[in-house]
Amino acid sequence: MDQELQKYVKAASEAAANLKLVPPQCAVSFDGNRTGSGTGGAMEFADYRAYRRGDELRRVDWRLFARSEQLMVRRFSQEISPRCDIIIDCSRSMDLYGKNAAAAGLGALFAGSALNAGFFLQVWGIGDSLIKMSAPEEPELWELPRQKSSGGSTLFFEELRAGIFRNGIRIFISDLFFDFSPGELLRTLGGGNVVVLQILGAEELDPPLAGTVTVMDPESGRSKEICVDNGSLERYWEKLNNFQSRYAETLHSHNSSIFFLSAAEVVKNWGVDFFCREGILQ
Amino acid sequence: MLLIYLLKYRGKIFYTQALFLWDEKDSAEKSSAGITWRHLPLSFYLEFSAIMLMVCGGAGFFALEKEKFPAAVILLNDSYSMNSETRARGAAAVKKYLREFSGRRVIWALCGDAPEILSRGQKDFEFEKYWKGESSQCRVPAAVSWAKKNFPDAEICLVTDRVPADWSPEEITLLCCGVPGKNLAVVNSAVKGNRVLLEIENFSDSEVQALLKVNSVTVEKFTAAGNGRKLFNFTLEHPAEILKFTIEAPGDALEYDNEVTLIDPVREKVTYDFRALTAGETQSLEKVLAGNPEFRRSKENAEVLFTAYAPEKESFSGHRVFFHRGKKSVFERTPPFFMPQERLLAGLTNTSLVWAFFPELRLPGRGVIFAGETVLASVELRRERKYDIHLNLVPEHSNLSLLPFWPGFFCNLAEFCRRNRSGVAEPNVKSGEIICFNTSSGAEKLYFRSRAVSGELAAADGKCVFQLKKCGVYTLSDGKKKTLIAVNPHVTDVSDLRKNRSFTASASRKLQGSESRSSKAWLFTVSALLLLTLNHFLCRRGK
Repeated sequence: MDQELQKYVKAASEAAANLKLVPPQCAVSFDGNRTGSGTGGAMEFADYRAYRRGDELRRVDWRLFARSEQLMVRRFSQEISPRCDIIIDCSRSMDLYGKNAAAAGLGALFAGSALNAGFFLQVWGIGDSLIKMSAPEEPELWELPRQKSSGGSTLFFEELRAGIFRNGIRIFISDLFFDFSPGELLRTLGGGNVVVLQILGAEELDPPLAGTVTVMDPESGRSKEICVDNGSLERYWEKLNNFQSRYAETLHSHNSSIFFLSAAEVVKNWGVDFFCREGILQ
Repeated sequence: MLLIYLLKYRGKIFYTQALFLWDEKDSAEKSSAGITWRHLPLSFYLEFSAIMLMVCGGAGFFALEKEKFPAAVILLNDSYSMNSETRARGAAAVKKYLREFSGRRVIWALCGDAPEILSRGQKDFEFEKYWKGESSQCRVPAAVSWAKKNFPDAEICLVTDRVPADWSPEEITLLCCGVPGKNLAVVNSAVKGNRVLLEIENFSDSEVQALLKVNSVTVEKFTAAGNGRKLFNFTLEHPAEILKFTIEAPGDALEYDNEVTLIDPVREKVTYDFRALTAGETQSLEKVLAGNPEFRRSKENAEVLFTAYAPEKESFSGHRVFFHRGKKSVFERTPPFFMPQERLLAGLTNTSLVWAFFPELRLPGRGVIFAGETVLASVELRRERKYDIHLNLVPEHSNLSLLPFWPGFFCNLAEFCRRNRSGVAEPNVKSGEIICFNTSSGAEKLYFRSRAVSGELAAADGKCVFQLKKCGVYTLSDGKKKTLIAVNPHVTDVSDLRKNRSFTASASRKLQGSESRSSKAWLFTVSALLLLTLNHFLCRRGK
C-alpha cells in the first residue's frame, strides 16, 4: 500500500478506535461464544432490543407491544462467533477521483469496528486478482491488489463466493460500475446481511464537464464522444439515480442495505456519524 | 481556430467506468435502414457559431461607412478645342486625380452648350467613349449650376484646356490639360451660285502662311496677319453643289475649324398670282413684286395668291394674302403697332407709316399689326404649313408703298413662304444649330445620314426640329423629299488656343483623407466571446 493510502487508512483506523460494528439480526454462527439473535427451541430468550427496519416481524414481541406500545424484538442467547467479511473493490475505476483512498479507509474503519465488536474478520481485495489479507487487523499492512490489465474484477467473484462467510456480515466497498446486476452481486455475496457501500468520486456525482468530451472506461479502454450540456447532465443524474434505486430495491428486499457515499466526503470524517445514525456502527 | 478547437476538445477525456450512464443518443429509436437526423445539443451550435464568427473576424469583413469623401462631379469640356490629344491628357489627369481619393462616387457629365450627364456613379464608367469634343463652346456657369443643384455636396471638377473666365477656385477643382498653340479658323462663310465669301481669323500673335483649298484643290496661298482676319470674296469658275473649303497651315494646333463645307442654296423664286383684286390693289402689288427678285408670277402652281375673297370651295392650296374690304368706305389714319418677334415684320419699322383701314372689319387669325384694338394684319394657319395673311388695308389712302416698309414686307413674305416649303430653309447650318425640316404631307419620320452618323427622327405637325452636332454633309429624307445640308463648325473664341494652360488646381475645400472602410473584426471577436461565455454558462449544471 502506498504512503498516500496508508495515511488515509491510518486515519480511518484511528477513527474506528471507539466504534463497534453492530451485528445484524441474523448474524449467527454456531461455533462462537457470542449471543446471537437466532430462533429455535435450542435458544433461550436473552433480551429485548428495539425494532429495527428489516427485522423479521415474527421476532416482535406483540404482547410486550400490547402492554407498552413499543415494538421490541426478542433476542435469544446462543453460543455464536460473528463473522465479518470486508471486500474492497480494487478495480481500475476505483483509482479515479480518490475512491481508492475512501475505499481503503472505509475498509480500515469497518475492520477496526468489527474487531472491536469481536467479529471474526476477513478482508479481501479484488482487482487483478483476489487477495485475502493476511493481517486483516493491520490495515496499514494490507496489500490491496491494483488492477493493471483491462479485465474486470468480476472475474474473481466466484472465487470470492467460495471464500466468504455466508452467515456473517459482508461489507462490500465498491463503485458498483461493473457488469453485474444487483441480484447477481447479492448471490455472489451470499444474499442477506450484506452491506454495500457505493463510493463515487465528486466528479462522478457532479461531472464538471461541458461541451464535447470523450468519456473513457479505464478498465476496458472503450470510449465515446459525448456533448455535455444541461440536458445530458440531467439525463446522467437520472440514470445514476435509477441505477442506485435498482440496487437499493434489490438489497432491501433481501435483508441487506446499501449506502451511497461521496469519496471526498468520506475521507473527511469517515462517515462515523452517518454510520452510527444508520445503526451500522455504535 | 478549428484546429485549436479540435485539439482542445480531443484532449478532454473523462475517465469513468460508467459509460452506460452517459447518453447514447446516436442509436435509432426504431430499426430501419433509413437516414436519421443527428440531434446535436445547443452547445455544439454555440461553439460552431463562435468559430465561424472568429473566422469571419479573421477574414477581414468590413462595413462600408458613409462616404468620407464627397462624390465627384467631373465636367468634361466638350468644346471642339478639346482635340484627341488634349482629351487624352485630360483623361489621364482626371484618372490620376480620382485615384488619390479612391472609392467615392463619380458622376460624369459633358460640359458643352448645355450640361449632359453621362453617368450617375456607375463603377468603371468608360467616359472617353462619349467625350468627343463636338460642342461649339463650354458653358461652365450653366454646368456648375446644374452640378450644384443636382449634387449639392459633391466636389466639382472641370477637365478643360484653359482656365474658364468664371472659374471659382473655392468651388471648382480645375484639371487644365491644354497646350497653347497657333490656330487659323474659318469664322465666316457663304456661297451663292459661284460666288463665295470666306473669312479666316488668325488666332496667333504672328502671321501665318497658309493654303486655301477648294474640294482639295489649292486655289490660293495666303498670309494671315497675327491677330487678324482675312476675307476671301471670289467667284468660282466651276461651281459645284457641294464645296469644301480647307485651310492648311504648318503648326496649326486645331484642325476642326480649318474646314467648312457649303452647299449652294438653290433659292427658287416664290410664285404668285392675283385674284379678284381692284385695279389699284393689283397695280400696287405688281409694282412691288416686280421689283423683288424673290417673286415670280405664275398662274399655275402659285405659292401665294393675293386675293380679296375666299370661295366656299377653295381649290387653291398655297398661301393666301387677303385684302379685306369694309362696307363703310371710312378709314382712320394712325401709326400701327407691330407685334414684336413676328417674322413677317422682321426688320420693318412703323416710322412715318400711315395705315388706312376699315374700322368695322374683324380679321381672323393671330394679329400681328394693330391699331388700338383693331387688327390691321393677321396670320392664320389654314392647314399644314399653309397660311392666310389677312390685311385690313386701304392702299390708296395709305403710304405703305412709299416707305421701305412695303418692299421689306414682301421680302419677309418671300422668306416666310420659303420657310414653309418642304425641306430645310437653309442648307448650311452650324454645329448645334436648330434645324427645322418641313416634312411632306403624311411623312412621319425623317431620316438623316452622313459618313459618320445616321439615324431617324420622328416628325410632328408637319415638321421635324432637331440639332446635328457632328460636322459633315447630311442627306435628309422624309420618304418623298430629299435634301442635302452641310453642318459646319460653330467657331467661337474656343478657337483661340493661346489661352490654353496645363496645371491642376484643387478646390479650396480639402477632402477628408480617411479610409471609408471600417474593419469589423472586433465585432466578430466580441460576438464569438459572448457566445462562448453563454455556452459555458448554459453547459454548467442547472442546480
